[in-house]
Amino acid sequence: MTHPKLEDLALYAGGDLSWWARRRMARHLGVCAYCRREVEQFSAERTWLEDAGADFPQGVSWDRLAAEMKANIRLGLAAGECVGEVETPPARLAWRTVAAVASVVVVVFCGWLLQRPEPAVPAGWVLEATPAGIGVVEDGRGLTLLHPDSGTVLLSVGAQGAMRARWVDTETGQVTIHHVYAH
Amino acid sequence: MTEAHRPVAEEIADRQNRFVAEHLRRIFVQIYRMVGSVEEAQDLTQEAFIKALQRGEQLKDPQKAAHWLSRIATNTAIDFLRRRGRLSVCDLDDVAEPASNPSESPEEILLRSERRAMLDEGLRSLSERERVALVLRDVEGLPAEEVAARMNCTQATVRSHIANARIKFRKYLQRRKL
Repeated sequence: MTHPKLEDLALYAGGDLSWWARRRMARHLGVCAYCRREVEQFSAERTWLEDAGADFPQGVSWDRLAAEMKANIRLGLAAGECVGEVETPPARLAWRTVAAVASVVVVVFCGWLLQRPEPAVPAGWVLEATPAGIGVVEDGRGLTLLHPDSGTVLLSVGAQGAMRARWVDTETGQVTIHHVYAH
Repeated sequence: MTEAHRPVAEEIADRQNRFVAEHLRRIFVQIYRMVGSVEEAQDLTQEAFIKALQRGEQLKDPQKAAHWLSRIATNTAIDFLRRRGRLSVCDLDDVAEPASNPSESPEEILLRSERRAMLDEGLRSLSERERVALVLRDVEGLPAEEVAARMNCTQATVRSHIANARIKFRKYLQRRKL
């Protein structure tokens, strides 16, 4: 006969098994005197534990301890009330908070005004795309990055003042990207 | 405080005193079984009562005051055990005054004393979680799901702790009887 695990017997004694496991265990206990004794022993130990648990700790003078605890509880409550009274926010605190928040908002706004982003492309500079390449030009002088004559070159312009040329080499399949920034 | 407020404040204080007197011993023993030290149980009992009395408005049904207080006490003890991370040894030897019921015979006093010592030592032989689970389930008589909720773990985990604790406690009792 296969016996259930000791853990399951311990749980059964306290009514802690699931409904299905309890049913199976009850069937086994009906035919197994050994496991029945184990369960009875666990039950007796639980009763012992319950009774002993209600006992007061050994060697403690309850009257003295209780008086001390009652006094400390009263003291704790009184201290809590004092702290509560101090922590009650006065009406003017709200004005101080509003003033502090308003000052912070003004400082942040001024900071933003002073640090406003400049236009991305400096005046006089021009980004230029020709069949030969892309580059920047100022007063007729400039620098151009050349791309191949054959094949398709994909050109794109960024809002922040940048231009990009992208193409695929027909022989090697390699992708090349030229990215020119005007700042 | 004005004169008009004094009777109300006194009434509240009286009600709080009665509440403390009614539950103090039970809560102290409950916490003591969990933490295993008189001094720590004393501090935690005080803390639990202060918390409960300060949050009195949270108690909707006065009939459930004992259960509500017991829950606060358990949580206070569990928080303490988590913070500490281990169980301390019992310091009962520091307290020398014997406490006994005058109506008990010397044999009864001796038996009770032995039982207390066995319980304390047996509980100390368990791990912290096994000890808390066993005390809440078998001493306090809470259902396993309530124990799981208080210990903030799954029911399967709590069942495992309870089973291990019962087996370890049995082995301890068997060793003592040999």
